[in-house]
Amino acid sequence: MSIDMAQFHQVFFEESFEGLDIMESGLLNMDPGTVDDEEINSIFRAAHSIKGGSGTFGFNDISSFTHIMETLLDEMRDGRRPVTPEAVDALLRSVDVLRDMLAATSDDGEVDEERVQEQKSELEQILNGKPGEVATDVGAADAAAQPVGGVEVRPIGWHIVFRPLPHMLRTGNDPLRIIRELAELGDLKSEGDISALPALSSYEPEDSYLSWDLHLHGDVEKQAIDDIFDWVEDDCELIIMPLLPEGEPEAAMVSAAAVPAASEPEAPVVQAAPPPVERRSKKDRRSSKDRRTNNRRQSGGSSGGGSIRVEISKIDALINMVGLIWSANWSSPSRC
Amino acid sequence: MASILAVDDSASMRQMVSFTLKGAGFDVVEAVDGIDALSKAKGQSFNLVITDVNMPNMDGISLIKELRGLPAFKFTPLLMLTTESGNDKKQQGKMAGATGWIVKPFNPDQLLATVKKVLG
Repeated sequence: MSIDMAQFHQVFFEESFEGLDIMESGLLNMDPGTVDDEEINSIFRAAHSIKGGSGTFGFNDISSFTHIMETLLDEMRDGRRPVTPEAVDALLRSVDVLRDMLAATSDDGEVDEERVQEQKSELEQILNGKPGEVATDVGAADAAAQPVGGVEVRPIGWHIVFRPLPHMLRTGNDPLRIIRELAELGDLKSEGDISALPALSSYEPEDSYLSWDLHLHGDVEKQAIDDIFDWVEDDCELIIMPLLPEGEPEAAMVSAAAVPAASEPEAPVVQAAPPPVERRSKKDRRSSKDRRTNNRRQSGGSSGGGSIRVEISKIDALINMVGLIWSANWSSPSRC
Repeated sequence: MASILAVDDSASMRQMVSFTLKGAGFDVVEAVDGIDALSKAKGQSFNLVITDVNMPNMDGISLIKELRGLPAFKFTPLLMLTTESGNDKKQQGKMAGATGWIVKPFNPDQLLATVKKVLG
């Protein structure tokens, strides 16, 4: 689908000029030392909107210039940086520069690059001169991403153990949609584990009870899988292990439940029967990295309730059926 | 066809999101901030809510918290529009009940791909 983004430019420029007026009058009213929360928030929001819009509509120079202003304002509104007259003056000058940049871009005119650079430097000096972290946490998450445990050989696929925590559905995430996305990456074999399903009498219809043992075959980057689970990493137990060409880990899967972990060098890969899912409250959140490490350790534990191989469509049907049974039960007069 | 509530205080972003989604065949209702969105959400149900985070009157995080508390929105996908430097916001959003996020800047194709992820 191709959409002409130019059709939104006029509105973007109009609202950006309005935003600049808000910033300007806010900054002029600002009394250094006593900062009004709502005042500085509205100045910040205006800068934030201009940055977001200019980035979206492809005006990258405007976006990067505004980003510095936004960072400064963000530190001020969080109280990490004092509101000094120098900073306010610098921001006022920046508003002027930004207005010229927007006007020039809107009218296809020339931007005074030198002035932009000068103003940028002034802002950067203020930012770097005082403590207060410059918001450059971009990439911090990537840096924390762990490499696949020392594997040199390119994996032929991935073994994924996916256990949604009971609350996952209440985040609006649906395990089946996630599995369907995985299936788009390669050849997916899915094994559903229904061993955690309780008796109907103690069944909580809004909880997740199913888990999946997934084998994804194909030339798939781990990042692509991480991206799919990005939204739910705190809402599930997740183990992602490479499937290696040699050693036929697939074959090992079948008997894995009976094989003690210690006798199998590829142990984490072949633990088909996971230990009982740890019920973790939302309060007990750990970083996903810790959790994944922890999962690997746990996966050397004892065998659980065994597992069966079921097609995704059947699991889908099963969930629907359980839902129907439950709603029929719930709506019957005896429960009202 | 699925209906989507698009919330953003910026008119240009709202138009871009709305235009893109309508072009893909969705019904779209626009709201200008959290308060506006909440009152629209109480009047009709939606299959998806996409909200900006930084907004006057009621921000996106508060909106998500409020929506998640409504029975009709218990399982509804609630996506937030966040900036690349917004890891903090992502966590706050998740705690409030957000389903996931779309990182700004994004283009119409990325928006549709993400929407398909939760509505496909």
